[in-house]
Amino acid sequence: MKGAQVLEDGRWRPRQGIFAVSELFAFDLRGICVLSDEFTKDVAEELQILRELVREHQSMVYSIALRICRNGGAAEEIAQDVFLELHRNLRKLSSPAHVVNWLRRVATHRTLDWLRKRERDPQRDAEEFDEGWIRVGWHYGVPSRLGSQMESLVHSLPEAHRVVIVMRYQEGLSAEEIAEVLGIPAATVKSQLQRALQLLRRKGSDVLKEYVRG
Amino acid sequence: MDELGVDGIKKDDGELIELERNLREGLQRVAAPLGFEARVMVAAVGRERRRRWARMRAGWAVAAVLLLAGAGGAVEYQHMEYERKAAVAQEQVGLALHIAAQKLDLVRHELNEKGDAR
Repeated sequence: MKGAQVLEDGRWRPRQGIFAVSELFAFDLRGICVLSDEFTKDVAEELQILRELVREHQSMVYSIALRICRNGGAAEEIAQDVFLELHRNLRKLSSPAHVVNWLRRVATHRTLDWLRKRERDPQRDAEEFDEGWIRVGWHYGVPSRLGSQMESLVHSLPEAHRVVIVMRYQEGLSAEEIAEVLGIPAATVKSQLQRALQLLRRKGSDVLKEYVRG
Repeated sequence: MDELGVDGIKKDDGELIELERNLREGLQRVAAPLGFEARVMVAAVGRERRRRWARMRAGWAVAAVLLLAGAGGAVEYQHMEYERKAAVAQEQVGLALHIAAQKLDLVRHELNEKGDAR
């Protein structure tokens, strides 16, 4: 543990230069660390592993949720739920690759669940969809022109096509890997990818030509 | 589609290759909101605390049930013991009364015999 040291009895104590803000947490420039005396060594170690995994994969999970659901607030909530679910299932995951695969799968399914739940909600507000794109721009700092154009194009795709495009081009997965993540046949993924690219090509030809000229 | 690549995408389609390159470049991962890691950790620690309390409450509940069962068992044992002793005492009293009645019968019989002899 970087911010704290393990005592002989398994409890955590902050190292020098770490600012303990409560008996439970301390912060340094890199982030948060758990110091609680109330947990056993196993629990404290699990929390520490979770912290490392959140730090490593938060961008991946948040980006998957954001690009599929198109809502910044919901994406953050979904990503948080995914990591809490990861914490519950930590002992079942055997390798880093397994963790990444699991996170992609659960993030995608939780986001699709959120979209379906939202479709059933009669009070949903169409303006909510725009929030995520404002936030994307903000998190990019100054988003590139190409990035904004690609976001807009992917934004316009139907849900299923959006999912495979995000998996293919954000996560760099092959059709077989996408099929494994989504639990659908690889042939279906390939046809969805082809259809999505045709749609993007049709919708984006003018935009991209303009980009190439610019 | 002819000349398809691994993912079913045409290999020699320049426009499509360009689109794919733009997608890869344009769809890079987005940074999670500031403080996201801390919020997840606070939620996870809160959940652990609730689990710990739930386990402690379950332990207390089991201990209370065992205590009540023990106390109930002791009361029941005392009651049974009392009833057993009462039954023994009742039996002894019955036996004593039976012996006394026999003796009284014997005395009455002797008295009757003496009376007849006079």
